[in-house]
Amino acid sequence: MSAFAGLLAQTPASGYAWAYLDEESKREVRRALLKAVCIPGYQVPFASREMPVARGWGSGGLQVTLSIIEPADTLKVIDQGSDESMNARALRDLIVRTTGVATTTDAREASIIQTRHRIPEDPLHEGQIIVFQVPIADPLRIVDARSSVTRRLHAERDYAPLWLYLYEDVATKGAPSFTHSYPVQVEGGYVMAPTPIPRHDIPRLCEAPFLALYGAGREATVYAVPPYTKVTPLEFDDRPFTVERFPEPCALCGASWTYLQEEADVDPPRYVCSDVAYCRRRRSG
Amino acid sequence: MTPVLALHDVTVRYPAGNYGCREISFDVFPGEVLGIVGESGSGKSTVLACANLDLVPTEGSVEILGRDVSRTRGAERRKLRAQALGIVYQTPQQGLDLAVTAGGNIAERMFGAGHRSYRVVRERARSLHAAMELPCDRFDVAVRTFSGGMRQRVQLAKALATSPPLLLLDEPTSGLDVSVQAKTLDLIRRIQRDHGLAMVIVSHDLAVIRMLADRVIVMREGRIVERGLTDQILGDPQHPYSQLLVASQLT
Amino acid sequence: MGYTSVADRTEAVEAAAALAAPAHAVPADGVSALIARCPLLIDQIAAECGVVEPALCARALLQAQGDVVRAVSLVRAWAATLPRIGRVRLATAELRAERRITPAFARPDGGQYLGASLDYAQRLLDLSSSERPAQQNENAHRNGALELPRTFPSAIAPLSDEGLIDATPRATPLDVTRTKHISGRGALLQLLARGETGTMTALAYTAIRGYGQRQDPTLMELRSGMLPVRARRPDGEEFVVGEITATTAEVTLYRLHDQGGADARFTLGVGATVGRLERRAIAAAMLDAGCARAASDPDAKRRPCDDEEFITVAIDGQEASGFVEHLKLPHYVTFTSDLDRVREARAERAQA
Repeated sequence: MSAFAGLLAQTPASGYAWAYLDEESKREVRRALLKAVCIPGYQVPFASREMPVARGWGSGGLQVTLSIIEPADTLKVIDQGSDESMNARALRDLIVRTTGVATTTDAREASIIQTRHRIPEDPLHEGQIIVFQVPIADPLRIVDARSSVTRRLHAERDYAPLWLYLYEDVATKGAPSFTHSYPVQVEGGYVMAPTPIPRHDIPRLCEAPFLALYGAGREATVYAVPPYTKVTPLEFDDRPFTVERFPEPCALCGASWTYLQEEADVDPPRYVCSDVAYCRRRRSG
Repeated sequence: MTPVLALHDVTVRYPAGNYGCREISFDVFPGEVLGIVGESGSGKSTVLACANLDLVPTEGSVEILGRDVSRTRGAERRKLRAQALGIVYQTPQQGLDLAVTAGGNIAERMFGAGHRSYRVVRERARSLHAAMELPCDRFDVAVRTFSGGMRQRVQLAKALATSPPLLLLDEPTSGLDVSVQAKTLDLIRRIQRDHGLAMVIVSHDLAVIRMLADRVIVMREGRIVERGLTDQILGDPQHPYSQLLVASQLT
Repeated sequence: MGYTSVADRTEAVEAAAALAAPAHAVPADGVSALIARCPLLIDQIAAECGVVEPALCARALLQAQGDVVRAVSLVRAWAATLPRIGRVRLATAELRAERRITPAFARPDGGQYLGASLDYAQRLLDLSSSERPAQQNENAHRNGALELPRTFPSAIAPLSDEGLIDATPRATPLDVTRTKHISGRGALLQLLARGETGTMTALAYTAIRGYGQRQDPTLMELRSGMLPVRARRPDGEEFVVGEITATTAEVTLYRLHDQGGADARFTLGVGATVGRLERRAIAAAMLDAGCARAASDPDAKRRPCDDEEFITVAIDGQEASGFVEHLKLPHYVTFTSDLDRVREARAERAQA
């Protein structure tokens, strides 16, 4: 069977373009992504389309995935680290319905991983693309609500207001108040919002072997970090960045290096890996 | 010797046709204090805005340490201001973020200049805070709670944070109580001497000028009408307008 | 109780969707009944999704169980990936009004026509059980209702000729769904055309209520009726493809002498909306006027009602509701991080 005939056989839903988006929309996103990869960490505006998922629910990440996905790709979609989360399922269903691509829960086998709030625990490799869903694209949003102001600050690489914010936190509260979404600097240039991944995942962004694409549908921007790029959290030279700590290892698989979530509906309450597929695989040996 | 600040025939003309200032020229050398006097509307604030690179002159040029900087903008201007200029505004709100602590206001300038060590920045900010005779238990308190005089001191500390060679002051004591004015002027004189700063002080108050300035230029309706040593101008003014000013204030 | 983590709980998600779905199929005449009974609601949906097709909007509303925001989502998403095949032109001067009022002028050129409006009926809830035949209103004839709809001269034209009205800057129309950089008056007007009605009304209200520069708005003219839609053939000739219902409003704010030396005059804002939605058109005009006024005084402090950037962010109902409702998505990863920080901070303080 020719590749094209195979493609036709795969596409189940009628009335939709392959990968849902029309060609013009895909072109819009791809052009923005190319620019984003060339200027790591820079927020590239694009004409974000209205999608069948609400704004704030992954419309940006979805547009990115739909614009880059190919028939031979293998897709993994997670939310909070879980493939079974309702948001992950809804997004995955839409992508599969309009492309017929293979899916997996094993992060090592996926060529595209669309994620909300986590990076999979598995070590990832070259050739993989992670698509992050972004709620707030601008790390300077806490400093000023106006894009007209923050755009100029980025253009001048004037991040003094953000450093001041950090200083005030440490001086008056004892520690930076950033918990998740810790601002990071890309190759000493643009400061970027890494999406609400926990601090635990921030070190994974530095010199990563994968391509990181960030899509913000409501804010109509995409940004990107190519593989093997230096990405460092904003920290004072003399106050190192710290990650979350848990009192126990995972109650199910014993891992002490993963990001955990508390389960209070069992007696006694316990901590388990938030990366459900990773944990399950460890348990099955 | 290169002047720290030099204005050459600076003219600012607004789109409506009126002038902010006309053909202003002067030099300020290291360690020297220049006073600019005039009534409101004389154009002295416009001149200061040009020196601070807030305004681009319609004609003429502004030089800092021998370099023409009239048209710098963006990141370059920010860097220049961090390295070469300190400014104290007439109203503290213009120069400070009232919601931020005193230490934070001072520290921000250092972050802008590229400092990244919390301890080092904080210690320097603290020593400046103390040098301005601000109470140390207010170092981590938001400036909103400070009195007018204290806010001016925070502005001074902030201006000095990156050790610039030039300090610009716009009516530094107007709006302060008389007793506080004297203390603030004392402080400004002391830091000028201790750091060997070049200063430009704009004021309508001749007492301030007499106390701080080595030389004076008198402005009226956008132009310089007289210039000279402070003692000369205040003791023996030649231009009728200068005579009027002096007579109305210093007798 | 998780709705996220374990595979065998997916039945919960499917059960939730099934419970929410209507018990019966949408009745065959549901769409036409909705259009006939709730024309203003259908107009609102058409305006907010930017698609003038009443049957589609009615169908979406039924599918969304009456949730306007969701109905607008459905139609907008459907339209988003459709190709744009051309532009049409609507000249508001050509609006054939069935209703024309000029609150600013007692006797304008062309006269005032109240048209069919609920404005003049009291808001008394009618609890009678039997249906009564509609009462014949003889007054309608006296108002010359039979002469409508027709076009009218612009009521503000004489003031404009006198130089009393600020020239409104020319706005280039743009398709905000296909454009990256959304700023400027053209974009603002587009966003106002598709904005969420409630938000626009609230923001405009804050203007009169005093949360902004003093505005003192006056409604100059309001028209509601049929607007011809023109398209252009490849050979360049224009022709009318049809008509849509529309409402237009013009609002002025008066300005006394300002620092620049310009004379006292009026700032004009214009609002237009699909459908017979007067509140929307007036709010849009007020917001346009507020922004135009603020633009001439760049140093004045901005409040939401005259802050163009704020308005641009706030008035898209889809972005607003989507982001507000996204809080329902799981956030336990991020909350764990917050919890960690709070506990750590307390521990540090307890040690010190």
